[in-house]
Amino acid sequence: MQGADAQKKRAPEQTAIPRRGVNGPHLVLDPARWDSLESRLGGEPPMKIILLLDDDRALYGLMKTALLARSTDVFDERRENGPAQARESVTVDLFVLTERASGQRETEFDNPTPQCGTRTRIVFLSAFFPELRESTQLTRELDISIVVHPRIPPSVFSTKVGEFLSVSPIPSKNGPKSSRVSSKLAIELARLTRAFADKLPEKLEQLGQAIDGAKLDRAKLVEARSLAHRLRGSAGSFGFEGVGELVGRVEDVLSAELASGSGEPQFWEQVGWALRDARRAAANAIDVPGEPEVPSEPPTTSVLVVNNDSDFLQLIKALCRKFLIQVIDTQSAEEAVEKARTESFVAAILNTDIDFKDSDICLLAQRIRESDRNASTPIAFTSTNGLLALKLEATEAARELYFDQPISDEHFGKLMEQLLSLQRDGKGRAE
Amino acid sequence: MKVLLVDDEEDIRKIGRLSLEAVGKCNVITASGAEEAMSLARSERPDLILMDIMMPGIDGLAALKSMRADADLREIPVVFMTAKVQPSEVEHYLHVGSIGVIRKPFDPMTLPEEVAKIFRGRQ
Repeated sequence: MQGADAQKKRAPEQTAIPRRGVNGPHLVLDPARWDSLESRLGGEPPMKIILLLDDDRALYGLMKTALLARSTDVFDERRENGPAQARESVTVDLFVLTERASGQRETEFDNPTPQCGTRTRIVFLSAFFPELRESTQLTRELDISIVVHPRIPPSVFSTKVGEFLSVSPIPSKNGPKSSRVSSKLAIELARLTRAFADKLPEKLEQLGQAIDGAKLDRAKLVEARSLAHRLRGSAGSFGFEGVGELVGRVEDVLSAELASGSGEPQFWEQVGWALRDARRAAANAIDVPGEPEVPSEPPTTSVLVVNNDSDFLQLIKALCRKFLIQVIDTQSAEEAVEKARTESFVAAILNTDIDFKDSDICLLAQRIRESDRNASTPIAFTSTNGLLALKLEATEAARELYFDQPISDEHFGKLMEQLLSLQRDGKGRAE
Repeated sequence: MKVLLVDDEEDIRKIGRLSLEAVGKCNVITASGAEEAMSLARSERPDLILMDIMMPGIDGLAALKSMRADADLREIPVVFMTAKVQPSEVEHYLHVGSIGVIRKPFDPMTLPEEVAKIFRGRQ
């Protein structure tokens, strides 16, 4: 859809995205906000502004928090009046939208207003991008700049967007500390949001059971209202405003009934409707519709670890979880080589302290690289003894990365970013 | 700034703590109820208490009333977090001694700003 047709379809006052329930503090991008943003993030204006459109609330939360870790601000259309208002009030540097968000909204993007500029770029998240025809249509006809798969790890996504907009991780007046903190915040927020999303259906089920209990015993109305109250506050704070608002309706009806004690049959109907709507809203927010398997998968997100230090393994698994990366741990060279033969890894982390018997660490790295699936996989060496000679051997002979054990959370985060960056760029080895 | 965050909902304590610590650079202690909060307030001497109103047992309003009657605790400023923010309700919270109100749900990215704004406004 292009040109005249699109302009005919789009009325100037049209807001294609229905406004969702808003019951939280508004995010308003005014000049005063730059000050708070600057102090909040320790960065320097101007920031890039991203309008992120996505119906998948869990994915939205992950992407938003990852983007906020860069020098960007995410304009939340769910808290505002949609793209129309965004374009009236701020200059958006980048749109990020998904195919699910685009459908009814494509008229919103094919004729950007002067505030956005015709050069406002668009990132499209699509599960179907490997289909060349659609990709070509998007990039050529709709001037989409890049298309990425929704399963892209958030950290990789934010790096890609950051490079695209030429913004780096949040700068700091005090060196890299603030940047690390903000990255950690983004990762931790994403983790909490995901954990909350996982628990949300169960919480709604508990609320339903409490309501059923109250139908039989009115003394349990208070308990049901208390559950609704707690879920109302927490759902909204985790970004599920729609669910929070509908659960709030349950709470309000229960409160009214507690106050009046009417016992009218319509009361239970109202509670039932509100709960049903809340469940639907939660299902819409959480469920990712079945995505067809595509021949060209996004980057594998597993890291191969050869290490016999149980503490280190525990730590690295916990840290990798934050990056949504799976750890495949092995205890021997043969096992590692076999894994590398059958699976692609975003990185391999090898402990030089292990006695490999008839092999050694460099030979193991070489054998991993000889496998078709891991020819350019970045490899990091790790050791508890920290011998300089070993570091030199690792970095000079094989140009691998090296780090000492124990490794801190911050250091590991930087290491993973470096490994993911190398893997993404196909460089494989540290320069 | 040392903040005592009081909420019976564990998820709110988690995200509130993360927000206040990582974004607001606050030192955060948490309590899941009013009694625990008053005990912690006595021992930890927070600069500010951020408290839910509707909690099982002693609710936020009753807790504030008790604190205002307690010589050790009466000077600690209290900010309520609540979904009930009709003008008459907010007026009541201020009337009973709260220094401000933060609406629930809150945005974890802006919560520290809101808290700081209320705290600065009091000084």
